[in-house]
Amino acid sequence: MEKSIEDLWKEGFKNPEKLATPKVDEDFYRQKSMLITEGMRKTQKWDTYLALPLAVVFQVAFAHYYTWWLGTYTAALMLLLFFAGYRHIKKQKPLAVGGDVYHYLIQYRNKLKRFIRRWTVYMAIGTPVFVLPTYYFFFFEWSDKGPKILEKLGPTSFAFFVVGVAILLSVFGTIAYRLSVLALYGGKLRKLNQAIADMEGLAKE
Amino acid sequence: MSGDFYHTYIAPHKGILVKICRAYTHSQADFEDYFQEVCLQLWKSREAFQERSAWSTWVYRVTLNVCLSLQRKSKKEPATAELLPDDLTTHSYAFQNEELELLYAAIRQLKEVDRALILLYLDEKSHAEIAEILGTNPNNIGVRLLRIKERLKKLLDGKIN
Repeated sequence: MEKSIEDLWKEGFKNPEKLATPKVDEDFYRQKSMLITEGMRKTQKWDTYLALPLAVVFQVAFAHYYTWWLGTYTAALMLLLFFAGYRHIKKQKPLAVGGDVYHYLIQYRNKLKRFIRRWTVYMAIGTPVFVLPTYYFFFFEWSDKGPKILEKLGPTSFAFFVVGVAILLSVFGTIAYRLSVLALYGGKLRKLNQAIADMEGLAKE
Repeated sequence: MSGDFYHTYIAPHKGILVKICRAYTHSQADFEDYFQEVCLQLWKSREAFQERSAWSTWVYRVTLNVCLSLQRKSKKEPATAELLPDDLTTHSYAFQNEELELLYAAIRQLKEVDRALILLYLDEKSHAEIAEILGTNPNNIGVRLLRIKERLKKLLDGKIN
């Protein structure tokens, strides 16, 4: 005769006090903080190191298809971004054993905010610095469209036009960077803020 | 979370936590995560417990809520056919009781809320208590339990002696 599910359950839990339970981590926020900051560090590392293959691609592609100086120029900019990011990663200190988790997270968040602000400026300046010489090459060296536009607009209007394009590129660079931050770090930043808010809430109890 | 809180308030009810977390997870790693999260939420919600019900009722409610919410977040429901009997080997916290493991594997194939209902029923909660823990009306619990038991019988048909 088949056993009833009730009998199966009762027999299975004859000694519930002997049940094996996983070890509960009583220092939950330390673990959580380490996971969040480690995850953030990995993303930053990935994000930073991406500049290296990009530098190679730009160097090879521009040098091969167009001109060596444009390749070297764009590759040099990529390397600058890489070294700036690398410096930031190297400066990060892991959470010390026995250290104060709350203050570590606050410091970490402040540093991260400073990093994002600084990189927003880099992107605002860097995008026109990166793109304008490329435009120069394509409009003045690769084709004769540039001189025609210059002739049509005159030097003053052309200068305003270039400044306008630079501003637009700067805005575009800023927005693109902010969106990439949101995509790459948004979830982790929310977790970081949540962990800090939880710890603040618990401290008030 | 302090060790005192765990030993005073959670350890006496660890059976509830294990039974429920096991029913909502398919691997040891998930089980450990769910268990940890339930303990944390019990600790965080201790102020919200207003002694209107027994602490054990509160433990059931928090455990089920955490499991259901984690389950919805992960959305990693395996296909029904995959669970029996391979599922038995995924937990290193297995109960060393094959029949119980089969019952668990069958319970895991039920809908989320049905799982909660049958777990509470098997833990000998009355319809009124089940309704209180789940925050539902006690009237149709009996009928629903009958259907769930029928489904479980079908799933276990021929697998249990």
